[in-house]
Amino acid sequence: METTISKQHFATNEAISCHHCGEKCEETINSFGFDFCCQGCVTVFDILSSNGLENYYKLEKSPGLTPTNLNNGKFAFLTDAETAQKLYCFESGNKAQVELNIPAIHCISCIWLLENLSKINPAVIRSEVNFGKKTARILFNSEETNLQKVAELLTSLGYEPDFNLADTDGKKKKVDRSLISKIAVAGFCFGNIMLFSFPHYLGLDLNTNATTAKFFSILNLVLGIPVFFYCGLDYIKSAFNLVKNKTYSLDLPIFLGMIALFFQSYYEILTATGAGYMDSLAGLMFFLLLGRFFQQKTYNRLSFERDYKSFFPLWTTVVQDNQELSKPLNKVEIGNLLKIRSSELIPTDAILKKGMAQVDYSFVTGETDPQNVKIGEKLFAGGRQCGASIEIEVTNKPDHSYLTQLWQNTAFEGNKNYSLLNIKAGLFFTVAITLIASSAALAHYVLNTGHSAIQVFTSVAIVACPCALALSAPLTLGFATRVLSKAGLFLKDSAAIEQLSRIQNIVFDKTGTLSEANSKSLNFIGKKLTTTEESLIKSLVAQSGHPTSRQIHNSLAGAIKDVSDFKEIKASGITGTVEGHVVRLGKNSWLNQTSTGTGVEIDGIFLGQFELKASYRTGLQNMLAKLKQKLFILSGDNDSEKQTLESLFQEKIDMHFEQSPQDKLSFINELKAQKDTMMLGDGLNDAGALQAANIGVAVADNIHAFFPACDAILKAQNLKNLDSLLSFTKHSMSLIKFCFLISILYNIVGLSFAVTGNLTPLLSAILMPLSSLSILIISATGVAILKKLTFRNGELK
Amino acid sequence: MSIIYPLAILAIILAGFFLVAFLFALHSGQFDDTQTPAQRMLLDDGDQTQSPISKKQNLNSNRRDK
Repeated sequence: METTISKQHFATNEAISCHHCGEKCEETINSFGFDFCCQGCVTVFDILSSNGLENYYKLEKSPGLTPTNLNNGKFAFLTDAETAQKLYCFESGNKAQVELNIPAIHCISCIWLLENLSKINPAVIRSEVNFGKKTARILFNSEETNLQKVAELLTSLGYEPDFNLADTDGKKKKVDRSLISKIAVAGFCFGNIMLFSFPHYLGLDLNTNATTAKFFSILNLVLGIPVFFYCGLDYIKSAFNLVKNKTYSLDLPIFLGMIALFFQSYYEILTATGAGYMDSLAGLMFFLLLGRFFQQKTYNRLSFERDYKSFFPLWTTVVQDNQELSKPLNKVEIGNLLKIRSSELIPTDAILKKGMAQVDYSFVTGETDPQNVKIGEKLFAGGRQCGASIEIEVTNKPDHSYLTQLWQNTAFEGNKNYSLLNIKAGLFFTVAITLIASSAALAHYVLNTGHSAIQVFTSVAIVACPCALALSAPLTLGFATRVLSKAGLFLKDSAAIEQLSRIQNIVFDKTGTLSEANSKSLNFIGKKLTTTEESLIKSLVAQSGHPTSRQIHNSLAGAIKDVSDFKEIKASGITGTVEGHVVRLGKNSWLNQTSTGTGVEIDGIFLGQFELKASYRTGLQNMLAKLKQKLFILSGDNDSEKQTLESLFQEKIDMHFEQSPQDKLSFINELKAQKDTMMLGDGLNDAGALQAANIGVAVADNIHAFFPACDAILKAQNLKNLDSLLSFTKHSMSLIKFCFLISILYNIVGLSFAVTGNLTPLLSAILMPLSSLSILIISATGVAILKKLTFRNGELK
Repeated sequence: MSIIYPLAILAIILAGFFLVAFLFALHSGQFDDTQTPAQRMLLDDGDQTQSPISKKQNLNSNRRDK
């Protein structure tokens, strides 16, 4: 079956791939006549086949996902009636409906399985998948099952729903469909008005066919009312706001044009002096709204406004009188004892009470190495526990923690105003139109040419209405936004292109932005290891849960053998006997070496040491060399990578290390005061800086995973094209300026008719759509040409 | 020619009916998700436990049994 599916299937030439998830594996579990990679996949297959859902595997080859282990009580918080109620879309009697975020949805089999949930659990009445938003709307019988059981069912199938605090805010997102309905109404009226204006175009005489002419004109008047008051509502509102705030934008001259068209038509038709300009008004509105539609293309899958609430889980485990209870995070009090399991987040500032804490703060501070924390020491919100379970005592409520204080900063208040061009053009046009219109009217009045002065004034306002001008920016920006999204850059607002084109400072975060977040390359320095030696070391580290051990484990090849006499010596290393060889791995000082690092010793002979190095994304050097802007690095990490970075940036760089989130924020504010600044970051520690910068770009490996609030999201693998992306935005702005020129030419032609008092409704009805259409064609072809010229080397995917 | 007056009004009522139908469909959310229905139509409905292929196989095996 040929469908557009994003999941990549692995080549299955040599290794056997799992029947359920497609993962290539060396050791397989054979059951039900198929090969599986793990027990989890077997379980899912078992559930599906025993419920008659084998079709899942026929729609798509190996569509499944390995289910995550169901921590007992992970979804226990959903039994809390209050929490569940907040998550429900609606509830009546014994039926409840919930919309769940399921990031794992990726193919047609997913849709099929999730929409057939009722076969597994009959209490599910109906389920409906939204593939674009990656959500499932599930209606179930709340007497026979509950939300917890539904969530557990999904998790056991590999589709773990994603809950976060923001879901329980109680704010239901409303879908805004008003723009499309305005376009529909404008299009309807435009078509009908044109039809009823046809007799006038063909020269219907107002005197001989007075009744017919009047009939059609009145119909046009009636159709014009919704066009002006409904379709034009945004422009009317915006114009009043502009006047109130004494600012300018192109909306103001457009509003002037609208008024002139509407009331001039009313005057002409009611006094039977002319046919009116309703066709021009409807056409203008239709094209303007269409331009807005192009610009407003949003990515409803992506969320640009996330704050810390999306980062934290919804629930936490509280230990009370030796019993574990699930509690919603917002009900946690100071002094509560929380249990944090392996790889869970620490939700708030706390003191370690029990267990060994190894906390990975990389998302909060940018530091890459996990920190060991002893009992009685402080833990900060946002860290991830790497070791075994720990118990902590809360010292700050979750919304008052060190991390959340960042969000109290003023950088998070108010909106950024991107569009200088719009304001400048708006001011120019408002002044120019008023001047030309009044001087033309005055001239006609003084010279007594036979044309009414008021009529001349309105015809100037009509013809000079910068509709083509107002179209050129949204159309070009809208087209350019689409091209950028194909190149991996997703903009929150297409006006951000203008801001991007002006950037003069570029600030990079290091961890997760320039370097890959979770992969460090591991180098072994010393004697070359034989395969037997590699296998011995791998067997030893397989016994340990230390993060460094796991990285060494992943980097080595070879079979795992039995280990005897395994010992883990705290803060030193590990030792054990494999196949009669004594293997020791740990700090060099512990192995009696003078150098520092993590060394390895077999049978008392020192072989060498492992060196962890952050691995930088590919293609950076080439991109950085092409950037002409001033470059900076702000890193929360220490300066151990300084030399590597210097060679990467060819020394045209200003580097700052050990920067706290607050430091980053103030640094950006200083830079911004001089020149337009762009910040690229990925973690919560960059959140303040991303907000403060003129443009904050979140670099994300997975655009559906968490990233802090920002103006744009850049796919991590496209970071190497940053230079092309920036030059594309510059050229797009030049294209807009070119469109401006063309539309001003149209205006000059139209004005020459208007000023002399010779503007007819027919001329205006031809001139307006013609200019709008030519702008549409110029901007569409212009962007297509730019796209070809800028992204030559297959950078678009 | 006077027939044109009622005809024009009828025409606009008819067209208005379609506009209202579209607006109703729009606001009831029928255009919110344009991706999933495109994929869903590729799935068989009715007896969803068996794909056409497995149905055929079943028929074949039944025949063999006889």
